[in-house]
Amino acid sequence: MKKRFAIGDFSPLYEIDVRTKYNEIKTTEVRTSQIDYEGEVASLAVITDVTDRRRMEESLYESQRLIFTLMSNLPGMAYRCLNDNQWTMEFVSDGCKELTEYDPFDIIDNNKYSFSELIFPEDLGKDSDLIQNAIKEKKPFETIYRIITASGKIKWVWEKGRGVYSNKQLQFLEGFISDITQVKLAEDALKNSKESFSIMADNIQDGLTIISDNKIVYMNQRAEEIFGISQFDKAIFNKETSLSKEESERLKNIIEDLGFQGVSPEYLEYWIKNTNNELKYVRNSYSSVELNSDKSIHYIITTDLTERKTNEDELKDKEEKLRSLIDVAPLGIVYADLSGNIEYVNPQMILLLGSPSIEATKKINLISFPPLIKYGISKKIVECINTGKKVSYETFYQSKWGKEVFISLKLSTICNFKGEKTGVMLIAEDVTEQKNAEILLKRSEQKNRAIIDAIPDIIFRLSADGVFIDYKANNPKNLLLPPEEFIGKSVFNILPRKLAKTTMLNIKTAIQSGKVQNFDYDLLINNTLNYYEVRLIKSGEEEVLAIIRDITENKIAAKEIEQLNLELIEKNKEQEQIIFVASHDLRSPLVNIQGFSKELYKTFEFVKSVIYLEERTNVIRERLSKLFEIDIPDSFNYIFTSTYKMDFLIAGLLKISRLGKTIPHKKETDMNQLLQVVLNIFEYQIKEKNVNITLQDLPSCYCDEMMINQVFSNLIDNSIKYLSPDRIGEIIISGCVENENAIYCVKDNGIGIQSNYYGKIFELFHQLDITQKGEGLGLAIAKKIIEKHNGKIWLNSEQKIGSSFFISLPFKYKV
Amino acid sequence: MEKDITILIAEDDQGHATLIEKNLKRAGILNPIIHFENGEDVLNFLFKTGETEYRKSGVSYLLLLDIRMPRIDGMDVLRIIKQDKELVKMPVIIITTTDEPKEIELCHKLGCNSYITKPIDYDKFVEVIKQLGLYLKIIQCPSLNGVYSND
Repeated sequence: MKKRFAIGDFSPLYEIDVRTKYNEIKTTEVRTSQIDYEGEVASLAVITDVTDRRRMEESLYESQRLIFTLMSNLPGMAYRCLNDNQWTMEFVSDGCKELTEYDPFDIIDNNKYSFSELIFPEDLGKDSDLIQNAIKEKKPFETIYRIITASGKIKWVWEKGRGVYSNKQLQFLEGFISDITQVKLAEDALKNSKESFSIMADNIQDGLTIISDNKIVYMNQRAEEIFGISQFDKAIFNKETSLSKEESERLKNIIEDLGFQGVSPEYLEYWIKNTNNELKYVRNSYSSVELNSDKSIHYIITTDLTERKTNEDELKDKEEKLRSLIDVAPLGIVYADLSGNIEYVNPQMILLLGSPSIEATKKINLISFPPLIKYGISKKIVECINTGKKVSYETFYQSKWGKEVFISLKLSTICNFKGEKTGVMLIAEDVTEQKNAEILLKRSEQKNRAIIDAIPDIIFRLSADGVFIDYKANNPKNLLLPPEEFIGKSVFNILPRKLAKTTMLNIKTAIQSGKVQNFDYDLLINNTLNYYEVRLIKSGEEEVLAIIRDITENKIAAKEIEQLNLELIEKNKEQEQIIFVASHDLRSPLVNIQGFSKELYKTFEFVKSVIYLEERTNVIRERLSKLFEIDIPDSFNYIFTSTYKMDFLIAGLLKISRLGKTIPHKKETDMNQLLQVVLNIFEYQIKEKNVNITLQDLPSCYCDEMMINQVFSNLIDNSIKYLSPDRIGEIIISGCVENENAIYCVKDNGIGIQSNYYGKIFELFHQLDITQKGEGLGLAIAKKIIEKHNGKIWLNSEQKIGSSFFISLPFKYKV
Repeated sequence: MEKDITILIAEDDQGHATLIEKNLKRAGILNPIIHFENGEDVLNFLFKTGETEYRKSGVSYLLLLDIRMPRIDGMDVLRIIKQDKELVKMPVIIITTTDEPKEIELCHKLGCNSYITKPIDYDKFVEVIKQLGLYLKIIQCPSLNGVYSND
């Protein structure tokens, strides 16, 4: 660099590096100044080699900087103090702040605290002898103690110091205090860890073996047990004698197996025969720590799995058996995981589904497979998985491969040993045949049911002791009680005592004999007598079926039939009477007609012969006059009378026949009025014969007015006809009501009737007295009419005193 | 037939009675005949009750009895006669229009000696009466002692 300065100026010092001819770099100091040299301004330069000086300066500076930096940044505190009781500090580095949390000025010259005050009281003066000795011998000292920081923390510190002397006199102490709390804690932890390692190693369930340099350096108790190593053997190990041949062999194997050289923990499982000749199945886990290039420590953790292995083998064995059982079982079996993926399916299931293979079947997901959803199986599987409960289900199923079956499914979840659900098992049984049979049975049952339903009867199930168990009625209204009032109750609580007794008796007989028992009974329901027929059938060891049929209608019908029969008998009797009349009453006039016709013919023959043979008129007249006057008119008379009689009889028969066909038009009739009408008809006869008629007040009745008029006419006619000529005739007509019937009486004081003719007088054409005019029909007609009214007619009579004819008629209309 | 036997005819039909009488005469039965129009009259005669003619003691009687008669019918007459110690001896011949077997049986039970049905056919009727005539000719007819038990 070149620069010009004025004379008298001193240029500043500056340094330049120059390269020497020996290729050395030298630092030079250059000083220049302007001088007057021979009148001329000249520059003078002094160049000094300062290389060494500069180097020294630099290194000192460097050293100072280093110390300062060190002091400022050391994790600790540099100090200079007096060797007094307070350890009075003359200087402390900035590290004081971090170490003690006090400001250096507080401690220097015991401004606020002396350093001794910072020392943990227990540790104060701990190593004072050691320090003082070191000072005397002018040696450095080291001590470890605790201090209490400004915030009260206890810190472990390490101090290294030495005395500083001048003229062999101790001036002060210098040193460095650093925080070793972490180191101390780590040390303690290490100590603890070492202790707990051996405790742990001795107490763990597994064996632990540590091998170093192909020798067993440690073996815990469990490992000894597993390998069957005695204390004696261990002693051998301790003496570092070689292992038994087997063991060393095995150890070699183990070490060979440790080819992985501690890269990662690995394990091996194998059978060993230990020194006690026990077979053990062990599992060794290895880990290695490489200490240096040619030395490793191997840790072997040995677990005795003999029991587990045995169980496992047994389990496998069982599983194998189970599996073969499952494989040949006539049931389809499927395991699936919780999401429905099939894990196993047995061959029977393949058959059941008509599937081509196990693999094809395994593709099905039990929860999402559409046919399974369609037949509701998936829903059941989900239900089983969710609830963990066993589920049974039966359905028709058409498999993916077209097989149609009825399957009965049993679903259950599979759990692991912890009881957690891991999957679902499905057992399927082909119940198609059963189902078909069931369907047939059901149909037949339905048919039976239909038959039963069609039966109008009420059926009760009764136990042997007469308790109602069940019932069946098409119309519950037919039951006299609601079911809840008799089910579970005894017949004695429900039925009238007499009927209950009969029922019990019949139940016993039915159960003992096994034969159907029949009986009838009647019950008064709503004032109407109902009739029932019971059939008791033994239906079990301890029960019977009682089939109850309402036969009220039958009974009513039977009664009607009975009534009709009676009427028919009556009709027959009438018929017989008509036949009788035809054979007797009609024959009588015919006999006359025939007889007198023949008589006439004979007379005619006689007359003819007389007329032809006799010419004398007077003789003829004489001989025939008797015939003409008596015989012939007599004969004609008989013939005419007989024809009249026949006509009369036939008319009578017609009358009766017509009456038989007439239906009475019944209505409430005022009998007083009716009798008045009747008596009016007989007014003439009554006056002529001078009869006393008494008409009492009569009850009304339910009848056909015209017909009953006829009856009373006939009765009164008879009474008048058969009055006794010895006394004044008296006829009394009276009436009363008895048991819903009106009873009328026509009483006379006439000739009376013998009791053995009471029946006969009501017969057709029967006449008591031929001298009296009459048809012989009056009472027959009266009887017929009364019977048509469901009434009765009878009489009470005494000869020569009089007769009383009684009529009973319904008082009121009856349904 | 013994001449002193009196024939009693109980017959409500006058025509029938006439025909029987005529034909008996034609058959040569000329015994006296008494005709009754009803059962009551014949019983009155036999039991000597009533107001009309009574039977005579020591005379033999034979009764031709019709069944259907007013007041007391033939069946009752027969029963009453056969219950009487004396009258039971008298032969009774039922002569009626009914050929009802029950009636015939009943009459025999009650003790009638014979039962004759009146045929409508006159020739047959005549024949029946002729046979009756023959029967009457050979019949033993005890005379009634005339002492009625109630007498």
